[in-house]
Amino acid sequence: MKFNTEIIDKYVQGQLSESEKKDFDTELANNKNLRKELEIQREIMKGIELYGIRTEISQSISKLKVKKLIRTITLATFAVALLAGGVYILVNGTGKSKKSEVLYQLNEKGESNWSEADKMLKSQLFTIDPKKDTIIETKSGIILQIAANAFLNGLGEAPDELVNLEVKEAMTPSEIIQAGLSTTSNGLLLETGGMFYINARSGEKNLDMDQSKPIMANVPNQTNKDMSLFVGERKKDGQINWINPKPMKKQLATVDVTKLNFYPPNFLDSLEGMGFDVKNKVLTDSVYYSFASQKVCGETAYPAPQPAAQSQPKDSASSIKMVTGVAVEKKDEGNPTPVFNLTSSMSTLKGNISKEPVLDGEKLFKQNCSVCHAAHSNQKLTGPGLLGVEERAPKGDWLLRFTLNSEKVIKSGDKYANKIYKENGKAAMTVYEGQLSEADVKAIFEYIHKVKPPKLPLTKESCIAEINPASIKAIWDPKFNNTIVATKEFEERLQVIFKTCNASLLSLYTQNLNSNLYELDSMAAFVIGGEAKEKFVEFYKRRDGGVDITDEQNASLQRYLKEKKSIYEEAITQAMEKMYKKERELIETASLKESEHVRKFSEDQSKLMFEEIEANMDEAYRQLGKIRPKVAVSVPARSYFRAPLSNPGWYNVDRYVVESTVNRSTLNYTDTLTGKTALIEYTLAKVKVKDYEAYDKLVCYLLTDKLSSFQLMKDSAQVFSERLNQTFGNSIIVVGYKGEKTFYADEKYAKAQEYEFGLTEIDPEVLVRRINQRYNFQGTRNVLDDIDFSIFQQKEKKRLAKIEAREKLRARMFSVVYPCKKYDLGDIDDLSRYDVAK
Amino acid sequence: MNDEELINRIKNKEYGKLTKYLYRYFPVIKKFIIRNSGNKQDAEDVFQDALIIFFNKVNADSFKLTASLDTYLFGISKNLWHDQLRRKSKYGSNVETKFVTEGDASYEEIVEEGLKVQLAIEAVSALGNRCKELLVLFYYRKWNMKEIAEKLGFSSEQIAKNQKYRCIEKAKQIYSSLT
Repeated sequence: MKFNTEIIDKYVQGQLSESEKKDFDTELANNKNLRKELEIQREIMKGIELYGIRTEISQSISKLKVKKLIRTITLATFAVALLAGGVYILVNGTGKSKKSEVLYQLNEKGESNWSEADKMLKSQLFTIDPKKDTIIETKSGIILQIAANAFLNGLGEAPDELVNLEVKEAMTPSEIIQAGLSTTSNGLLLETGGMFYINARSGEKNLDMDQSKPIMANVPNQTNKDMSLFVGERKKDGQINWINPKPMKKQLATVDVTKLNFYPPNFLDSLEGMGFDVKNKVLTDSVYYSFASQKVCGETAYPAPQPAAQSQPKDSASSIKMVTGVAVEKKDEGNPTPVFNLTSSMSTLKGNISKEPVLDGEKLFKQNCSVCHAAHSNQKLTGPGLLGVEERAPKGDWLLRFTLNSEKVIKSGDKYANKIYKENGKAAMTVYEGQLSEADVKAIFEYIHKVKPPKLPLTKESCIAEINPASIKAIWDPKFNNTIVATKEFEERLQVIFKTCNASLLSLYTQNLNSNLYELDSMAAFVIGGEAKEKFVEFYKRRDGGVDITDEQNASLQRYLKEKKSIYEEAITQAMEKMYKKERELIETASLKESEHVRKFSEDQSKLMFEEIEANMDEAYRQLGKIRPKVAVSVPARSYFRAPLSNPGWYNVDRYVVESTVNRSTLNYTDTLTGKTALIEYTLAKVKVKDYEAYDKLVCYLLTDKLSSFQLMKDSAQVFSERLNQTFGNSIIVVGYKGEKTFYADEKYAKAQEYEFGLTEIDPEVLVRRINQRYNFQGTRNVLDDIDFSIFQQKEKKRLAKIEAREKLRARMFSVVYPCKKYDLGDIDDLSRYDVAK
Repeated sequence: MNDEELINRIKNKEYGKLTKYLYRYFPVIKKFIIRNSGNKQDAEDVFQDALIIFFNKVNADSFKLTASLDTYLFGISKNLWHDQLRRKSKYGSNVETKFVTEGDASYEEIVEEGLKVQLAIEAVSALGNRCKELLVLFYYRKWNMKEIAEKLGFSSEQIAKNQKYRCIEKAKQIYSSLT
């Protein structure tokens, strides 16, 4: 038997046969090599196990981290500006500078000999926390980068207490001469770029510097020549001799990375064009990073250059043009814009959202149709539910014709019309011809269509291979201060990189933080083509250097970058998904609530008719001095309205009462036998509301003291009207809605006359209380419910408008963030990302 | 979760869930490491290593509990960090006195265990992704060869099997070169 890996494996797994095992054991006893092999193989098995455990642990931990991160992201606003590290503290160069005197007894060497210059130059004192990375800018612009724990006390430990950093500087010739500083090195004349002195103390004690963490001094380059750094040596005569020259590296000047603009070209312009406050970084970040949730397909090869963006700079502004059209004079309002303030985007877009046809359609529907139809469910009332009616019904103008005069369409032998006629118990629909115009019907269907649950979301994983905002977020971080990323030069390159849509170019720069920019430029120029190539060649010619960082720093930043990028991407994706899911759920809830409300309203209305007939009936018999026969009036089906009774006899009275009630016309019936007359008057009341147009929604309730619910007064040409049953006590309540504000006027003892109401604003809660107190009727409850629902609807409308505005904004910004891709998330105006069915 | 339950769950290999549970000790360990010249990244690494050793030790037949498990986990972490510091530090033995070993985790034992674990893991992690996946699915997840062949797209079970042996051989080579 050959004792190879396979056999050993089987042995370890206990899969050898009896005889094979025996052979193996024998061999094992004699063969040292096999024993060793076996041992190693066992170790490997162990290794696999441990490797498996480790994978499980680290997956589990990174999930926890993402979870934690998500909690930090405010969902409602999707502000994703988070995790600003506390590492970087900028101590502004406003050191307390005192009079020209020596502040300390002893100098940096612990000696007391100070030079003339020491005495002449003012000290700038900076107090720093030695535990943190600190950047200091002196008065004349020397930038000192001090790493955390760069100072050591006498015990060789990093001190805990604050450190005083003393700086003296003479950077201009006049300062140098005034300070009496020499510019000689061992007798030779030097051309100086400036001189400075630096010393750190803890209390009075000098601190040493950790040699592995030198302070980086960035001295402004005034001459463009190669400069060297000399060390000053105090001479007894108070002069300073400059010795030990070391060439200084021409380094790129780094700045606070968060102050740079790493957004794609035109990003801020576009937002500004839409009226946003682009100085609000929390806002702009939240817009930009929200796109990090797009799945990125990996970093592709070099896509064809975009002619529009590159050949003619003006063209690239086309996206701006498109949006400036909607930019209403937003900025003047001075609306404070805290976090992706959608109110501002709303008001921006308001001009664009047409004066809701929804409103008219809704009103018309409620007045005319809601008794028999549910607008956005399939629930059958008297007539069928109208959800999806436009898809079901024959195309063309069928719906219009049928709605206006169903009788005619049915009689014409139309198949579909006859089918539904039969399906719905041959209950004929009211003929609206003459009552409703074509435009009215259209508005009604618009309402039905609009309210219907939005469609399925189109995409979940649209694939984008461009520079992901998550990568930008990862580098746009104080952690990258003091690297090539935190330079104006990189900012400039990034703009070109964005236009190439090539994420690997970005990686080229961010993964080689210890290289000189010009080296990276040449590599970039090598791999890319088109106009971008020229740009990179141009950059290369400038021979911009790098920023010194240690390999260790580079490695740790690379780790950070890799980890953060994926964490951000995942966290943002999840946050966005969660947000969309929540919004979908809210829409769903609202839609359910609405259909329930409409259903209830229809139910109440049909009851109402019956109640009024009953009441009129009693009243008529009372006036006639007759006892009302115990024949129950059959509940008038709605079809009954158009098919009056033709039986004579007792029913005559009934018939007239029913007819007059249904038509709301005065009953004036004289009994032929007794000569007595029953008179139930219906007289017209009209209500005009001041500033009718200013309201989003106006509802005029007619509330009686006899019936269990309210009636809605019909709105026609901005006048509400209804015939009042004079045997009832009638009250009119008008409620107006403007955004989330409510307005109110009422007339408790309404008469047959024309009213003109000016509404006054009222707190919704107060309104409810007042109506409750003033109207102790059985129908009051329903009025309050309806008001409640309207308020809910107003809020919902506002919420939807916000969502719509946000999605429109995202659609517009998409092409700016991903200039090489078209937005393929479907028709945003339709809110198609929201799916109620699912 | 009491200690007994914890041990049972470790034996049941519910490592993912346990990690989530034990993550509550991470802040303490992080605090400790940051106080002792480490950073967050160090803390994460140490915590992860400590968990591996912890699970591994508890799984070993010889394991006997004499202190509470969280003390034990903390002890492992401390010792691991101590060892790392000792390696890195210029001050050598200076650091040593700072730590008092707690619970069952004796310093040498943990350090030795840590090295062994690291070595074994390293030999496996140095393999190609496909190899790793295959081995983990077979030996750790206990899938059968047929499922594995399907999942990884081998045209037959036999090919997957042969591949598995090749992977083990490769790992053995790496392991030998490391020791």
